[in-house]
Amino acid sequence: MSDVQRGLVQALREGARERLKAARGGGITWARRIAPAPVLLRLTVALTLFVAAELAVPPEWGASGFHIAAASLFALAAALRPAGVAPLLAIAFVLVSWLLGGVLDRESDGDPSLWTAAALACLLYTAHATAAVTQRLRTTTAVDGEIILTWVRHLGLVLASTVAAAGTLALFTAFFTGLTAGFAVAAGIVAAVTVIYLLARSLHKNP
Amino acid sequence: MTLAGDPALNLRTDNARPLRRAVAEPPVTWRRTPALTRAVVLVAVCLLLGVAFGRVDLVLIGAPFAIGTAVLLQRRPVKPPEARITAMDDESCAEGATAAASLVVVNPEPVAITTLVTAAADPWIALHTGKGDFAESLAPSSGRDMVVAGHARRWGGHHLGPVHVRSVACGGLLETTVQRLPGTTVWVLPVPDWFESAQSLPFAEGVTGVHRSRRGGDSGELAEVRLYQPGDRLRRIDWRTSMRSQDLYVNATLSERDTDVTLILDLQVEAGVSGGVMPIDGSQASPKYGSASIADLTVRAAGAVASHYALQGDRVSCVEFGARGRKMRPGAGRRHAAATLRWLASIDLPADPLPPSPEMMRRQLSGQRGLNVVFTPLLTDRALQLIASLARAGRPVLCVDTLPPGVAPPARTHWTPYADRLWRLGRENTVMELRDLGVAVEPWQGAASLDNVLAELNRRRYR
Repeated sequence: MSDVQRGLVQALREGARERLKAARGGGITWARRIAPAPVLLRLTVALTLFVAAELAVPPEWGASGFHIAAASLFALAAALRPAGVAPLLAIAFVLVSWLLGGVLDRESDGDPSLWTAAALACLLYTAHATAAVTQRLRTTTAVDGEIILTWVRHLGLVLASTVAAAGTLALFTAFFTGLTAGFAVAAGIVAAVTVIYLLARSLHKNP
Repeated sequence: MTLAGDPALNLRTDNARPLRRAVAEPPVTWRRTPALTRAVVLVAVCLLLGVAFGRVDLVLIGAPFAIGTAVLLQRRPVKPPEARITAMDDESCAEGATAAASLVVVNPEPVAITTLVTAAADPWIALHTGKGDFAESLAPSSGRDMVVAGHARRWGGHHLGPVHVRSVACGGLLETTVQRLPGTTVWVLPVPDWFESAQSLPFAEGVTGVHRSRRGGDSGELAEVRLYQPGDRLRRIDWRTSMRSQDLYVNATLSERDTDVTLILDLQVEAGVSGGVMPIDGSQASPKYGSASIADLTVRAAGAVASHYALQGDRVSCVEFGARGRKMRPGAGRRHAAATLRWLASIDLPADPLPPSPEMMRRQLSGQRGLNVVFTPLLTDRALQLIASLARAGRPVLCVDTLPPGVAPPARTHWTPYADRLWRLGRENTVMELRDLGVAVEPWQGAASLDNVLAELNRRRYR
């Protein structure tokens, strides 16, 4: 080996050693700077989405390896990238599972419970709201306590409203089953279009 | 070959940065986030599917999204928050201490918002945890004063920034575009090594000071006992000698005067790796230094010597023997010591410097009879020429060797250690030649490291 080659090998070795040292140093500083609040929020996103995915399907599906793997994958993606399309995909996965499971369940033993749907709604909204709060926070961002308090307050309000809505719906399904199907569908369509219009208007109006 | 195809015309200019049009910073505006889009899409899909398939459960699943979005979007901000960054009051801090800048964010809207601040800084400023990357809540129609701070690891002018500020409102459904603040420069002053010298300096010919002069005057240092002359003070009469000799004798004393100390900083080459300093915690009084480069040793040693003599009352001036050739005016006292530290902090070694001229530097120093202290790693012939010419002119020259002890060339071939050894032998030879010329050469070792050579200079002066 000539001196030039030896020098080249030496320089390459030194460069690799420097890069390794820098990576290790970077990892150590990241571990030292990591903040608890964003990590816990991301954990909340992952856990709620995973539990929702398990709750959405019949137990025999939920126990299957394929479903657990897919649910974990979606939940992890949503927790790691809360700012992108991952939470939407995870929620869509839960909804599709819920619809397919409902079809399967109806074939076996009737309608799924309204309260399961309410729990699912609560879990999905918790994941959505948490992902919205977390989307711009990095794992090292020191978060003010007031932000967490506001998030908890809002979540409590919306979840309580959802439970109240579920209770109302339960009352309706118990006492107003005699409504004609055409009237129910028309009222539903009007309500849905109203809500969509209001939201779309708020979305497109210059804030 | 046509003129357009001439390859010489396609050569890039010396400026390494390609020409680009200046991009104006876009104004900060509020915009929706993917979370808002997600909420709306989910509500629409759930409601439409629920109605289409007659599923109440889907309506129930979509309900919290509709309720939550409606609640959050009730009050929306219109005007974006204003952020500005300013340096702290004195814009300077000591090595190993905290460098900080003040960030003010004002929320003009009657809606509570969350502000996310992400700061970057020079490699020599290690941002504190929670002071460079944080999220703060801003109450409606209020402002908040935040601090971006980090540990200053090395002297010099360091840039704290850019700082990216982004605000989020309505629970993460709306956000502003990123506002980029260019940041601010924080001056980190070198913490000089502790230097204490009990030796007085040669050529003390100022007005009043602490060094023994060869001129007579009022002080405690006895020069001679001589006959009384008109004008002598009565309290100077030596009664014992007068009684013995029957003539009136007085004790004549030497005056104590200050002197000029000129610090010449050889900043032509840089070698060694600067390791910065560790943070000062309560347990230790002084900062813990990492490895030092030539510039580090030069700046810290010059800071120590300048602070010592300026606080003692001598006039201290500094001159760069390098590409920039800056000068610091002579002065004494605490303020001048602080100003010298600030001057030293702005020392910079250009990558491709013009070599300085020893002759020009020697002419700049002419007319001064004070002590010349040269801080040099003794690596260039020009520095040796300067020192030798000063010594030949009969000026007291003290040479502080600032080559870091562990510095060595990278081992590229198996000849490197031998070449290094030969070079070091040659350097020792040069140091001995300088000593023969009457230059005191001493490596910098902190407190009292120059006392021996100063005593040697004094002996030579008063011999």
